[in-house]
This record gives sequence, structure tokens and C-alpha cells, in this order.
Amino acid sequence: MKKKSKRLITLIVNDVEYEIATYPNRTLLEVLRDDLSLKGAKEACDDGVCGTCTVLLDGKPVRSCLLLAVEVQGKAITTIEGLSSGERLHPIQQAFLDNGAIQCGYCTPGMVLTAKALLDEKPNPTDDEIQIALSGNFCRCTGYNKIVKAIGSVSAGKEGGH
Amino acid sequence: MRLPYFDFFEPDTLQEMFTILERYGKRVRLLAGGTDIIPLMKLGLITSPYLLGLKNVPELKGIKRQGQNLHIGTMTTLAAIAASGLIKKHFPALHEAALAVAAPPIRNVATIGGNLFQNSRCLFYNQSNTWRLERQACLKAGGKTCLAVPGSKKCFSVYQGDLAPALIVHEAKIRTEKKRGKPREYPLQALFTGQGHEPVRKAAGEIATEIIVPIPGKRTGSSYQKLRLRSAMDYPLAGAAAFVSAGRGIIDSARLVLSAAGPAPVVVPLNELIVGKKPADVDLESVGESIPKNLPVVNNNVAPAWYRRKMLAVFAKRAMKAALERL
Repeated sequence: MKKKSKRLITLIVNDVEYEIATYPNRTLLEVLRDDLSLKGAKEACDDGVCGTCTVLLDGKPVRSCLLLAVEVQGKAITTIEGLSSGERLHPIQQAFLDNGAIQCGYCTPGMVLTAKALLDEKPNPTDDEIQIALSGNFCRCTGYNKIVKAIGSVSAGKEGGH
Repeated sequence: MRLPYFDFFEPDTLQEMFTILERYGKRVRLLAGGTDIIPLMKLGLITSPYLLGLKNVPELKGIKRQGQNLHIGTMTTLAAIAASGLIKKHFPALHEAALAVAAPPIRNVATIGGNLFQNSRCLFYNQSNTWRLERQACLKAGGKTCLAVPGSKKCFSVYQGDLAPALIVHEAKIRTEKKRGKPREYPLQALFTGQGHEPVRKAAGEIATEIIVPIPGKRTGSSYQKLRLRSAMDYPLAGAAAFVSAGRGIIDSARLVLSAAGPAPVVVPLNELIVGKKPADVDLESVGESIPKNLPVVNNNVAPAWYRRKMLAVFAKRAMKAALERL
């Protein structure tokens, strides 16, 4: 008889340490959504193309559908749930609202997290830099102009920062 | 899409890694960044009882200069390659190629080794299980004939790596090691079999540890140019890397390598066309015309074969032009 074994792994997600028993063939996205009920990261193409599953791994945007949960033990993972505190939105989230950069909202968590990584590295990016940073995140309804504008409106000098 | 079950190893040291490689031989597959193999496994095109994750082996990462060579660990991410000042200065083609791959979040995990060992692609192969069930299996998927060229017993899938051509024009070598026996170093070009169904050479128990590229002299230039439908994510529909060196104002060596031109990168011989000339006298048209007419480019990609052939010449000219401008 074949045996399929689970692994006991420790994931650090949004500053919380989780101990999870999981099969090695499960992606980080599956574990985040199904085991931890963090539904912010979305499954769309599941092929690494669209960017809706974006999370931050040690501060850098990555595709959670292409990483195995067992591969990211001990690394700091940030999902969209880790950005706002209660009712208080993160400045990037607020900027998306203020600029009408949301329609269906499906790509938004990935866009916001990618923007956060960019702004953490470059507090005052040019439009070109924003576009390059977002080039792996697809939006199929809002269009990119308002998203770029929203991200450009959040700068280090502004109240709240990021 | 769920990944099929496999057992997973993630060694922390080279020694541990070699022990696993030796013990499991052909039954274990390597997982570098995973951005190529994970989608293929989800589609059911690749299955393996064991995966060996390489992300934790420190010896496989990093860019360092040793004498006149640059050593790039095979697990170095494309983001690290794109960010390296040393690479940007000495190997502009490699810098451009790394930046041309997918998009930043992919480059944060994708590696140079994984990029080189990526599988070849075809519209009749990279499809879901459901799509494939509607047809007979193609050659690459274990069937009897090619579906892109019906009746053919040869696989026409396309090698669409961006880094290989850029590294080959810079005369890169690949270093492979195994638990016992001497490490091997050979020209990167020899990694490619030219066979679509198995495009890269892999030996059980052996692993590519480093890419070694000689630092070019002064008065050299290189460039990589890529055709794709979108400015991000897409694999190249045509890719061309060019390198020129003109020590005393006269070109003493020139190389041109194409990607997405068949199941392996294509080295285009152009010595007599360019060598011995002054950079200003190079006839770019003849560079485009020097591309072999019989490349195995067929209708198995999002753009038709006639267009891809035409664009290979256009992008070859652009790459050569950019390389000459950097002299």
C-alpha cells in the first residue's frame, strides 16, 4: 500500500506563527486559503501568469501558486490581511479607494501587495517604475491608469506613509 | 489545479543534496525556482515521486568574480542577476535577458539554472489534461507522432529560454558535479540536445552548480533582443543575442545566437561577414540574411511560423546593432 505522509511545518504569516500539517504537494496558496482561511490571495490562472495570488515573501512579491508551502518555512509571509489594522486601511488601500482603482476587486490584493513592496524599496517611484513593478499583475476591468495613479499618490512624505 | 502527490526533500548542504541525488537517481526531479516545473506538474505533463528542492543550499547561490571569470551559482535568482552591477557592466546581453523574463515577482524566485533547464514549449503540448484528452498524445507527451507537423516522428517543440542565447554569445560554460567523480565543465551550448522531446541533457545523480562566464575585454558589446506580444510575462516568440569585440577598432570576433528558433538555441555562424571589418562597415542586412533558412520553426506557437522566421532576422539585426553601439 502506498503511503502519503504529511509534514509538520511552521509558517509565519502576518506576524503570526502557525503550525500546520500538510502534504508536500500543496502550494502556499492552497494552505493560506484552505488551512488558514486567508482568502485575500486569489486563485485565478493558477499558472503563475496573472498575479492574483501574490503574497510578500521576506518583503518581495512572489506567486503563492508556484511555491510549495513546505518551501517557505521560517520566512516572513505577508498577505493582504496583514496590511490593514481592523477598520483602519493601509494608506495604499485607501489610495486605491480614493482614486477609484478598484472595480471587481479580484486583482486588488495582488496589486496592493506588489505596490507595497515597490514603495518599501522606492518611496517615490516614477510612473514607469510603477508600471514595471505591476507588469506581472493583470487587471481585466479597472484598467491600469487609475491603479498607477493610486500608487503614485502614496508617497513617503504624506501623512501615514506606508 | 492540484499538484500530484510527491515526497519532498530540501537539503541544507551540498553533501546532503548529493546523497539524496545518488540514492534516488532518476526518480527524483530537481525543483529550482519552480516557475516552469510547477505549472507543468499541475498540467500532469511531468510527474515524479520525489522532488528535491534546492532553495536552501547556500553553495548554489551567488555571483562572484574569480580572476577573469564570473561565477554564477545556478540557484541565483533572475532578480539578483538583473540587479548585479558587475553583470550589467560586463554582460549587457545577460542583464537584458534576465530583465526580459516574465515579470518581477517571477524573477524573485526563478533562477538562472532553472531558466537554462526549462522545458521546450508547444501549443500542442502545454495544454490542460482535458484539452489533451480530446486528441491523441503528441510525441513529447508520450504519443507516436507530432501534432504540430502531423505524421512527423520528430518533436518540434520550441526552446524559449531568454538566458541561454545571452550566455552562449558570452562563451559561458556550465559546471556540473556529482557525489563521486570529477566535476565537469563544458560549453553551455552542449547542454542542449536539439531534440524537442528532451531538450536539455540531464544525467542522473549530477547537478549543475555554476555558470562560468569569461569577463570580456574592453571594446566589446553585447545585447539581447526579444519579441513578445505583451511587454511582460511572455516567452520569446523570437530572441536574439549578439556579441562583438573590436580590440583595435577592427572587429576580431562576433557571435549571434537565437532563441525560439527550434528545440535548442541556434548559433549562427557569421565570422566572414563581420570579422576583420570596422564596426561602422558592418552590413546589418547581411547579418539578418545569415540566419539558416531551414530552421525547424513550425506553426506551434501563438504567432505563425512565417512571422517568427521573419522576426528572427529582424531581432538578430537589432541585437547586433545594439551590440555594435556598445563598443
